[in-house]
Amino acid sequence: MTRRTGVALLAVGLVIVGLGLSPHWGGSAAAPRIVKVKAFEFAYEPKQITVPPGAVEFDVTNTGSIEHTFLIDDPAKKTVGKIASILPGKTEKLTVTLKAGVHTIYCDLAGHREAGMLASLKVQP
Amino acid sequence: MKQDDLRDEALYRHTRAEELAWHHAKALGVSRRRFLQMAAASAAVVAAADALGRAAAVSQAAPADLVVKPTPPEWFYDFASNKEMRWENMASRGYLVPNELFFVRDHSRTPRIEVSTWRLKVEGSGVSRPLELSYDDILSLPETSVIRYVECAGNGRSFFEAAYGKRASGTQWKLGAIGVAEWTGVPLREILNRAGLKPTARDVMPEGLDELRVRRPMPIAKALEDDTLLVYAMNGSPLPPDHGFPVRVLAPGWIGVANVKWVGRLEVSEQPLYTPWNTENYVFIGPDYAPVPPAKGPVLTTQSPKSAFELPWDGELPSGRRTIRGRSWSPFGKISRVEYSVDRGITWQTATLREPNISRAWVRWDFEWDAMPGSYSLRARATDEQGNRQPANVPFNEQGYLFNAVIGHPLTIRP
Repeated sequence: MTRRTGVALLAVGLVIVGLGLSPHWGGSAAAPRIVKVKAFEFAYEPKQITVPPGAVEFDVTNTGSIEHTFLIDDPAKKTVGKIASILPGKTEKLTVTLKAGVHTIYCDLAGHREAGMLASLKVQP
Repeated sequence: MKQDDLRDEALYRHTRAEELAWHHAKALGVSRRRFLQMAAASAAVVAAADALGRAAAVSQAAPADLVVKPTPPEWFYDFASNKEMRWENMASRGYLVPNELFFVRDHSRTPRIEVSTWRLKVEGSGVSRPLELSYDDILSLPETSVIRYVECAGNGRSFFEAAYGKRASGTQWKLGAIGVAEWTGVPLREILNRAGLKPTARDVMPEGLDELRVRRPMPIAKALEDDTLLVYAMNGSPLPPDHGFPVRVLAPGWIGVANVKWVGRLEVSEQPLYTPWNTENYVFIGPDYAPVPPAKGPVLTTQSPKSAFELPWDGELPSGRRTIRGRSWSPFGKISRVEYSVDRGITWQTATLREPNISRAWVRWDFEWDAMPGSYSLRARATDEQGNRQPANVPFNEQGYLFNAVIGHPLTIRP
């Protein structure tokens, strides 16, 4: 890929992100796609998220009343990203580079996952 | 108020009690306005309790509130449903932590429990005579009182970030997720025996009546210890709602979660019991720990020795000669020695220990210091009677448990 086409693709990618559409190119060098998530007692919204492989920024807002966390486990159950504490009313950000496969988002505070703080994160080209 | 009014003894006592409370509050830096707000809140609770008798020990606060008692910022660091005690308020306080200053660790929020309909169920394969006990039944059983500490497994969690550059999951406590109280209740053993405890029983699992139904099993051996209690009073008062009313478990020396609050059920089992509270949480997860199926890592049981200064965190003091105070505690026995350093750990001296020094509670200590202007990082290092000493560092674990390394307490001395 020439530098010029790379820049052009990046520009297209940014426009797509700006429009909230799903970008469908294979590279991972683009600016991270932004996904907004709400965390509360005891769920995440949305419950199902689909993104292409590559860099993704999760902006997680705690709209509940108590503290929460935000973890992403890959298909092999290895944790690939974590926000260790989000106090009520706060937004914390996490940028991860994701490979294809079904990932799991969950809160690792005691009892929260069991109570429903789980979401599915599908990473597909 | 006219002086004549005080010839009425009840009025006299009420007035003096208010004056005393204001005096204490002022010494703690509570503003007059804040004091009046708190007095109004506690007056409402007292009035309700008077009207409804013992049953009204359940708070009248709105159910939307996460915790019931007032938690002003002068007393607590606020982490939503968790409230960390500010150590500076323990200066000149005596041995016990008053109920109103005691840290709160709620997994969800404080449930408001109606004691007239509350029952404790004791059941499972490990007992031959399942029981259902009312609050009055519990109060009629043999009673004992002990002075012990209760401490969150994650006390000190925030220091993992300073040590390793990454945060461990959960409330970023400094060292204020601990308290010592006099706990009164029934030895758990008395209840288990009345239910026909079988010799084949393995685990006891207290279950909380909170939204998440906290369930943290413990082995029978721990449940049968002399000072493992089902507690209904704290420092001479009915157990406050935030601390487990009507009853909670006291499991001395063990991590806070084993001291389950708002207990509604005791499951006694001939098989080992597993819940998220001993498989996914309150276990060590990290590069230095291997999974112990079905748990994700070694299961935590006992706490670890620690020390704290009775000073504001990152506070300021005027220069000059002064007494510096703190406290140390261990789950393994009495504290035998506390060393301190005012020069960032280069030289160490021995602090003076002050009685009482109670096993599985804490010891108060102090030292004299001629404080010169500058920035300091005070250190304290405790050793218990078993020879356990606070380490220089502890391995990282993802959920940030049992951080008991020696830490620097930041302090500025003004000219």
